[in-house]
Parts: sequence; C-alpha cells; structure tokens
Amino acid sequence: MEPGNGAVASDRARDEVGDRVRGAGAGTGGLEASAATHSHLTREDRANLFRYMAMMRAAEERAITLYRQGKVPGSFYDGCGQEAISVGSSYVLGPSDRMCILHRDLGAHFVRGVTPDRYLANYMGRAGGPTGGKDGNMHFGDLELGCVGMVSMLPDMALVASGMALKFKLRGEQRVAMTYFGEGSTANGQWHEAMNFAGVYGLPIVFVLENNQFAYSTPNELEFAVDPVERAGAYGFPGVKVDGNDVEAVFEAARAATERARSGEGPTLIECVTMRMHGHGAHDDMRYVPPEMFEEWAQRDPIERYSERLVAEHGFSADEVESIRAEVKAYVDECAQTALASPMPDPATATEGVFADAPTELGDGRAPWSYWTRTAEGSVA
Amino acid sequence: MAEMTYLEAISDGLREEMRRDESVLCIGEDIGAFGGAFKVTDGFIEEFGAGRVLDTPLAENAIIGTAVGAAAEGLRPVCEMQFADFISCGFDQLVNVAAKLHYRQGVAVPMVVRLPSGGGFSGGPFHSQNPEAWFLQSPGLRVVAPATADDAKGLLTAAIRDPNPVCYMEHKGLYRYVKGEVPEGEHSVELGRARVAREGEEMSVITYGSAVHLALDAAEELGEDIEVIDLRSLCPLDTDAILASARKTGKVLVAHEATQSCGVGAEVAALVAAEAFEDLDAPVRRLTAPDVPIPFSPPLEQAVLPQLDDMKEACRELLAY
Amino acid sequence: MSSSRTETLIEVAMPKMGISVSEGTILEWRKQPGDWIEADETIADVTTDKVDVEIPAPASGRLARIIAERGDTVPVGEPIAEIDAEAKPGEAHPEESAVRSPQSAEPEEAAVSSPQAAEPQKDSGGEPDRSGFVSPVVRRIADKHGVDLEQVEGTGVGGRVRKKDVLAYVEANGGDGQAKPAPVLHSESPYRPEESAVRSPAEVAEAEPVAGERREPMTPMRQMIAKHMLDSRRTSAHCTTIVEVDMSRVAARRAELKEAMKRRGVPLTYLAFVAQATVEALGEFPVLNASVEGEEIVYHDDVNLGIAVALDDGLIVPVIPKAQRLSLEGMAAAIADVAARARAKQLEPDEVHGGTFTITNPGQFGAVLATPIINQPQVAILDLEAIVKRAVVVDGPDGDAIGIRPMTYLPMSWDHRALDGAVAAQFLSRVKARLEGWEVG
Repeated sequence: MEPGNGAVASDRARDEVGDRVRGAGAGTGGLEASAATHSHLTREDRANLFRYMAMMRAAEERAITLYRQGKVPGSFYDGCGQEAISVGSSYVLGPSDRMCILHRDLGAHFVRGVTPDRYLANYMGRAGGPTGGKDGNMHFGDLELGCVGMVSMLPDMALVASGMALKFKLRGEQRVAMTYFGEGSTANGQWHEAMNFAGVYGLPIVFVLENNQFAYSTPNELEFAVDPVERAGAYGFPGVKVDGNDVEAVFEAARAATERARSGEGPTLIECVTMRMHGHGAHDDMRYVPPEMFEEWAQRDPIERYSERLVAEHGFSADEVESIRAEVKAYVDECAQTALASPMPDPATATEGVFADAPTELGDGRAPWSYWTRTAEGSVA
Repeated sequence: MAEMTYLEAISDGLREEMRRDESVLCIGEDIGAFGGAFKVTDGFIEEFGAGRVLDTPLAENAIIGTAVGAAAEGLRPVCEMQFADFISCGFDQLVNVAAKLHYRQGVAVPMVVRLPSGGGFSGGPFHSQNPEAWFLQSPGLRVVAPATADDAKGLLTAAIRDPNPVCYMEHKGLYRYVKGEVPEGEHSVELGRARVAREGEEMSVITYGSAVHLALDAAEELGEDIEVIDLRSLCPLDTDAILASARKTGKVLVAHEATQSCGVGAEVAALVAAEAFEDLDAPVRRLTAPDVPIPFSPPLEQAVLPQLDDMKEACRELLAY
Repeated sequence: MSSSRTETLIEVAMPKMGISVSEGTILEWRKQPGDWIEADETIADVTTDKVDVEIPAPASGRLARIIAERGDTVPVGEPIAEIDAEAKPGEAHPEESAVRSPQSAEPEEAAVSSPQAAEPQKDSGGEPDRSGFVSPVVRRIADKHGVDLEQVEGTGVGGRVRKKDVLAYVEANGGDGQAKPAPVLHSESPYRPEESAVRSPAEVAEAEPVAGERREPMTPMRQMIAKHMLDSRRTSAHCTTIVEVDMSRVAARRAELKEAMKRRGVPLTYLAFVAQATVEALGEFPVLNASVEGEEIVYHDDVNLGIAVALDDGLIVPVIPKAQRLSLEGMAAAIADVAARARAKQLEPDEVHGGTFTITNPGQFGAVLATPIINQPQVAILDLEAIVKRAVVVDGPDGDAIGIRPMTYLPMSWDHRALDGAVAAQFLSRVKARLEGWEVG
C-alpha cells in the first residue's frame, strides 16, 4: 500500500472537505416539525399495518404449500414471525425514498406496491415474476417501485443502499434509503464498511437490523461479543433497539430515524428483536432451537398480538379484524391463481439482458402512510 | 490535438466528462485532497468540489458497492482502485452486485472502475497484476485496456458513457512512457473496436496494453512484415478484426503481460482455431507471463514479464514456421 | 528458413615444437575437409628443420577448412586449419551433397534436387522432414487451384510447403484448374490439354461390354457441343426458313476477282459473298442481329459475324468482329484467317465470344438442306448449302426456258421469340436479291 501521508492537503483542507460532505443537504425541514399527534397513525393506517402483515403471512403460507407441491424450484425462504419489522419500517417511507429489501422482508415489497402474484411467480421461476426467472425466491426488486433487489452475499445491500443515500446527500435531496440485514451478517467486513462509510459521510439511511436470534443455526452468542445496537455509536450515529414483534414500535422507530435522515442528521441503526419461527430455509428443521424458546416466541406472534390490540385499544371489532384477514386470504388465493397461470420463461431469454443498452431510472414506490396523502393534499412539503 | 502522456490523457478524459456531465463523479482512496496515488485526479477537487471527488475510507467493497447504488439512482461514478490488485477486496460487489444487476433486474449500472495494473518496476506480487481475465469470466462487466494516449482518453470517455459497469485497465508502466497526439475536447473511442497498429502480411500479433508496444518495437527491430492488432476492448471483443487478421496472414501470436492460463490469449486462440482453421499456416501461439505471481527482484521480474527479446524470438519462430 | 546451426570453429595452429623452432612445413594432411576428427587424433604431419611432428586435433569435430596446404611453411602459432566443433558424427557437411563421407554412419539418400542449398538433407541428426505436412490454408489453396503439392518447393521448417510457397507456385503457373466462366455455345476452346480425358479409362473400362455394342467416351468438346445444342433448342423457338439462290452472278464475279486476290494471299470463296450479302442485309433487318434477354430484345450495333469451322472432332465458331466494316476482300481474308487458325488451334479464347450472327457452311460436304441450331444468344443462323448445278426455269428468248444454273439453298433457322416468319423471309429475300444481283464486270 502506497504511503499516503497527506503531505499535499493539509488537515485543515481535509476538515473542510469533511464538513462540506457532512453538511451538505442539511435539511430545511419540510416535515411537520411539530409532531402534532402523539401518534402518527390513523385508523386507516392501523388497518393497513394489520393488512400488510396478514398479507405477508398468507402469501408465505401459500408459497410453502406450492413449494411442498413441487412448484418452487431451488430453495425456499420466508420471514414467518418477523412480519412486523418489514411492514412497520417500510410503511414510513415516501414515494421517492428507496429500498433494498431482504429475504425476510416480504411485507416491505407489499407496502411498496409489489402484488403477491408476482412474488409467488418469482418463487416458481415464472415469466411473470419481477426477474422473469433470472433469479429466484426473494432475490428481486421492482425497479419501477424504487427497489434494488438483493444478492445472496450478505450484507452487500447495505453498501448499495448507502450508495443511493450518498446520491441523495450529494444532491441535497430530502430522500431516505432503507435496508435490512440480519444480526449474523454484522460479522461480515462489508457491514463494517457500510456502517463506517455511512457514518463518515453522514448518509440519510436507515439500517434495520433484524435480530431473529439465529443466523441459520448459529446463535447470537457465537455471532458477536456485544449487542450490535451498541456498535452504532462506534460509527458515529445512534442505535435504537425495539421489540421487533410490535409493529407500531417498529413504525415509530423508523419514523424517527427517517426524520433524522431527512434533516441531515445522518444514519440510524434500528435493532428489531424478534424470532425466526421457521427454519433458515424450508430445508432447515430448526433442531438447534430450544423448544421452550420456540414456545415463548410463539406467544408473541406479531399478527396475533396486533389483532388483539386493534380490538382492545384502537376501537376495532373482532369482526372487522377477521374480515380484513379473510379479504387478504381471498386476495392471496386469487393472486396464487394468477401466478400459477404465468408461463415458464422462454429459454431464449436466458442469454438476454446481460448488458444494458441504455440507462434506466428507478421509479417511485407506493407510500400508503396517511402522512403522505395528508402532506400532498395539505401542506407545503 | 495535443501531445500528452498516457496518464495526462486519462486525466484529460476524466476532466472533460466531468465538465460535460455533472452526474459523473470520482470515488476512491486518496483521490481528492491528495490528487490520487498516481496524480490522475490532481486538481480535480479544486475544480469540481468535494461533492464530486470523494475520498473514501480504505474499503474497496464500499467504494464499489456505494457506486452501484449511486449508479442505480442516476449518477455515473468513476471508482478508482488504487492498484488493480486491490480489486480482490471489492470483488464481491463487482461481480455479484454490479455485474449481475441488469441481468436479474433490468437495472442499469453505469459505472467505471479504474484499475492501475501491470508490472515492471519491482512492485511485487500485490502491485503488479493484470487481472483482466477475472472480469472476463464475470458476465455483465465490460473490460477495456488502452495502449496509447489517444485511446486512454477515448476509451475512458466511452466507458463513462456506457450504461454498464466497465473495468478500465490502465497500465502503470505506460503512464509516463507512452506519449501521443490526443484530440482535445470531446473524444470517444467506440467500445468493441480493435485498431490495426501496424499492417503486415506475414504474421499477426494480436495484443493489448503494454504488449502492444513490445510488438511494435519487435516488428521494427526485426524489420519484418508483421501485423499488430491492438484489441483495445477485451469485452466486447472485436472478433471480426481478429479473424480478418488471422485469415490474412495465417500466422497468429497472441501476446499479453497477464499470466497465461485462461487469459485473453486463450480466448483469442480458441476463437481463431475455431473460426479461421482453414486459413492457418501455423499453430496459434501465445506470448504471456507464466503462471507465477509477479516477483519483486528485478532479475526475477524480468524473467517473468515478457520482454522485447521474448517478443522478437516468438515472432521469428512463427515467421520461420 | 530452416534452422541451420551456427558453426563453432576451432583454430588449429602450428604448434610449438621446440624452444628454438619458429616454423613448420606441412608434410601431409591425414584428414580432408569434411572428415570427422576425434580430439587428439593426428590430423597432419609437420616437419621442422629438426624433427617431424604429428599434429593432434585440439577438439573433436569436423575438419572444416585447411588453411595451410601441403608444402606450406607456417610460423608457430599461426593457423593451419579450422575444425567445426559443433558438428556431430554422421552429419552431412553442407557442401558435400554428392560426396560420400566414409565417416557418416548412415548412407546418404540420393540428393533431391532442391534450389534451397541451405536445406539440410534428409539425414539423421538434421531437422525432421516436414515436407509432407500440409497446413489447413495450404491444403485449401492447393485444392482450389488444383496444385500438386509434390511439385511445390517448401521453405518452411523441415521443408514444409508454406502458404507463400503455394501462392507463388500458383502465380507462376497461371492458376491451373482455376474455375473459368462457362463459355458461350459453340465456343468451347479445345485448347486445354489438361482436360483431354474427362472420363478416365478406368471409368470406361468399368462398363461391361455388351455384344453388338462399342462404347467411347465423349471428348470435352463433344460434351460441350452436346450441352450447348440442347440448351439452344430449349431456349429459342426454332423455325427454319429457306430461300433458293441462283449463284451464277456470284460465280462470275468470283471468277473475275479470284486470281488477283489469290496473288494477294486471299482465297475468295462463295462463303465470302454470302457473308457480305448477309452483313448488308442485317443493316436493314437489325432484329436478326439481336439477342433476347428476358422480355427485352437487345439490338447490337456491330455485326460480329461468327463463321462455323469444322474441326476433326467437332466444330468451332470464331467471330469476325465489326464485319460491317469489311469489303468483299476483307471479308474473304478474315474468313480464311479465322478458319485457318481455327483448324490449327491458334484461336484466342476471346475470338469465340461476342458473335451476333452466325453463318455455317456445311454445303462444302455436299448436303443441300439443313435445319441448323441457333448459336446462343443470337437469334438466327444462316446456312450455305452445297452449290449444285440444276435445271431451272429461266427467261428465254421466247419466254420461259430451261437453263442450267448453279443453285444453292440458304436455310436460316431463327428464333420466333424475336421475330416472325415474314421478317425472316424478307431478310432472306434481301440476301438472295443481293447475291443474284451481284455486279459483274
């Protein structure tokens, strides 16, 4: 490595550079600076949160069935038990925000506008999936909805999301990038590179760490010597730990984090504590999980908990909740039919698309949070 | 036109594109305040500001990975690996994310990775490599390797404008030793087009990068009717030019400084054998470094890297066949 | 260039033979140039004013050169010979192609005559013989041009034939066997000896003889004529119109002019008159001097007159270009010239191309009528049949009378695609009129 002794540029120059980079994009606000309501969620929002979690659960259950029917080639991954994390966090984002969604975060895809039929088609390798069969299971992202899809190597997407956030920073845009990683991938060098880079540049990014207790079969105590949330400080930004099975808690944490990011205050690491209720993949029987642990977490199922809370605290009737569930199930069934009707891809397309002929543009995702509708209609954001 | 060194041409090309297109930015280690380990970006931060010339931590995956994200969002990052050898520290992002994103998802990744490569100055095993073959085995990456100052500027411009990730092999040994006339202002050389560096009838040397100069010198000194084809682009490869030359002369020597096994030479040789078999008057030969890490001590390094005498001998043999 | 090895020459010097000895004289060379020498072996005898000394070889090798001959006196230390120390036993000396060395282990092969004097011979210890190796491009070029590679000098390693060698051979030998464009009907050049026997005798012999039958292969000319005649029949809508011509005035005129022309080396034939009349008539009926191309009639400005010449084994039709420019004598001379050269096989290939109208003259053999086949791509062919004295009705002092006239028929086959019977008949009538009205005296 060539010695870089900085002889040419003085330390003062470096500081200037650093200041300019970190300072760029210091926000003008444009958010509702006074957190007017103690809760930022309307009744409709709450119903949506429930709906999206239920949709994720129903779609993944359908997918498992298809897998067991031999219709899903390769491996099968799901995020059973973790629905609150992807739904709660992605619900916060605005249309022009961007995501890199990971394999246990199907809920985020649904929030942003991907329909269950396309998800199922991708698992089955059909032409109607977002990758047209080029990649399988959760390795997809609809560019038209502002998502760059994941790769197998973890946590590579942390750096890609950082790159998108870098662009927002350089251009002074009040946009946020959000991505996910499991607690296991925090052991990887690229996690460090991403956290460090984001911290140095003060990027508008929300890192959502899903601590689901196991990285495949490896328990936490073999993955790290200190709780990952405590590492955030070492990179120069806050770390927040929340109950990953409480969708509103996740939502709140994500909301605060995106607000920080938009204000130019830089990254946040949100550690969501949860439990992976299925195997690493369908091929994994989870024999390494102590049964009592499994039992304990089963009591804290995020969807069940929220359905109870909707009735108990937010004025929903049990029927209302059930009808949402039923509606979702019917919708997912209908989507399954659509997916099954999608043909297998034409082999001739196998060699197509290696190179781009022209640049592409990421589109905007759906933003169902009522805030965005209110803001668009009401104020001057 | 202006006369400049190969290095100056790279700077010039980069500067021109940054002036022309504000989505172009530079990202790498020591490139901003320090002007780059080889001074390619000297003066850039003063002209373009810290928002377009980013000094990064020592993190190659971060450089490349964030470049992917930024490119997906419409910027055109030009990453610098301080030495081509360090691409191994960023290899994952390059081959698994950048290379495959369009194929899998239709997302174009318009970025350039500048890779100062090559040996000949006792750089040792980690500062002397020519790793282009790694990239050629990763579908989705374009690879270029200029040999002249003109092409250094022209190919960089084309690389920046291409909507795909491009590995730009800049040979360190050519930085100050190769000079040439370079068009001023906007100058782009189409990717995938080889150049006839020297016309000949008796044999063809198909080559790129530093070996182009070896071939031209050898042809001069031998005084023989040797054709030299400068490939310039390795992916896409100008198969038409290769085959036209092979068919014309019937004798082909493929030459490169990179090591032998499964290098560009192997690819070209296979192509010629398959498509021009009936025009061959001699077996296709290769002149390359052997499959050895590049050693440090001068006599060892010279024994490994192809020298002018090696080129002359290889040409003589093939001519005599 | 083959890999001729460099010689490492070791000098044999006049040795020190004693403190006071300053020179020696060669008495005898025991070895000759080209001989193999072992180190320490005596190669020469030298005498000084005191002693006779044997000179041992300083190294093994081949005696390359004797510098001091028998009887020469040489100072001590000066060279008397050179030894090639790189040579190996049994290896032929580059210059001893015809000389048998008693030292060589293998007998030399008879030297193949080769202009490459630097080529090592086909000997053990030399380069492997690669003259039989044919690279793909050499094979392709040889096949394309019908080259026998045995005939080609090889300058590649081991004597192999290189691409440049076979290309040079092709250029020097005019490209044997190279595909030529298909020639026009009746115009096959017989002057290509390589094609003399298209079907090998072996192929002929294969067919079992049947009683009452004898088989003979068709010559190339015969085959070409057969093809062209069939093609012509299939192409044109053949019709034949015939006029009868009284040649008495022509005969008279010929008698007037014959001697003078003969003195000038021009034989004046009836054919020349007919040709002259035909060319003139073509000026008035240009459609007879045309060609059919698809749905167009192509009228030719010049009359390039083909004259059919009978050969031993077929026929050939040389063309007299721009015949409309010729006088009677010119026409006669031209006809005689092409006929003579045709029979002597001295026509240029171009001379059988480009004809626009053909006249044939089988009448010389006695036939009176024929239906000739058109010479494609023309639209008509005129036939001069035998001139026969006949009794015909002539104008007598009291009206019709019987006279004896030299009569001939001029059948003309013509292509009904281009013209109709009326035009054909009118044309022929014009020719007839010209001939019957030839000015005499």
